[in-house]
Amino acid sequence: MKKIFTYSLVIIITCLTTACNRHVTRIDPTEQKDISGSWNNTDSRLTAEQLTDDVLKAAWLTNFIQAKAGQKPVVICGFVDNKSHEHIEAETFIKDLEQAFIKTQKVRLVQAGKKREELRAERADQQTNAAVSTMKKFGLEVGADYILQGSVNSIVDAHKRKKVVYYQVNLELTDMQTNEVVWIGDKKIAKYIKN
Amino acid sequence: MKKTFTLCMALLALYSANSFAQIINADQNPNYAVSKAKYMQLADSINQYHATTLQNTYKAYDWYQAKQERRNDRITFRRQLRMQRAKNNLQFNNGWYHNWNNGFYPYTQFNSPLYPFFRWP
Repeated sequence: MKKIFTYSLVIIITCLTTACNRHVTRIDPTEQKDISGSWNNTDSRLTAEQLTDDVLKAAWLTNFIQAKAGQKPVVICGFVDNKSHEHIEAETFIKDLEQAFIKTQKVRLVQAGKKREELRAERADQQTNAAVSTMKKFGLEVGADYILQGSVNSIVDAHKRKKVVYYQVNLELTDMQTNEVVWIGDKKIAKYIKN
Repeated sequence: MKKTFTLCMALLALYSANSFAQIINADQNPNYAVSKAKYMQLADSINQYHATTLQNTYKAYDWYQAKQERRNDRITFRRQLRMQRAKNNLQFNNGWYHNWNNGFYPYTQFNSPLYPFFRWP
């Protein structure tokens, strides 16, 4: 009787302690893990892969290089408008795209937004604090030839426990001087979710 | 004197050419300065959104999600109602008079004045 009680106690304690433990395991970021059906890292990665491939193989790049006698185009990143039903941070795939620009050395990139503000503030600080030989001057920034802008849209079709979600991510490159759109890339993702 | 005058004229011509460099292009809109003045004012406020995501999201109707939300709302409402009822009933008990039960509505588990503290078996 005493033995049974001891065994039971051990089993109960083991169950209780293991049930309360939180298990965390590292997974490969390229592994597809869909949990809720919302926008996730796999969607971001697929979007980045397709758009990077598209933008670097499109005709705008060769056209520019030919027209400018071998010069590389300079691109600035504008904003991405998320008009979908979910909170989606576009920076995850935009950064992948920017990284590809720099790694392939086909496109030059200039800083934008708050980071550019910070750069200018630092340059302003140098005007009064840095040695003249190391001080960087205003008015020598590289002007962008193209601006990269984008939008994220979604359509949700849901009834009872079934749902189809469609995402469309669009990125566009526009000529800064002429407003001519030279490239539009898209990534379409559709998901069927059953609760 | 003549030399100085020539030099001054040359400098003036250079300055003018530099100032109106943008008008050199014959095809340029002569009213470009209107647009330029407008966007010079707006540049800082617009450009701060560069390299960011503007979240203009909408709430999509999802039957299952809506059902869950209704359920959660109902649970929250009932809980608040119970708390309020218990609070009100205990408040009016001065020892002589109480409005716990006037006989019309027999106590159940939820309308009992002692509900949060005591549950009927």
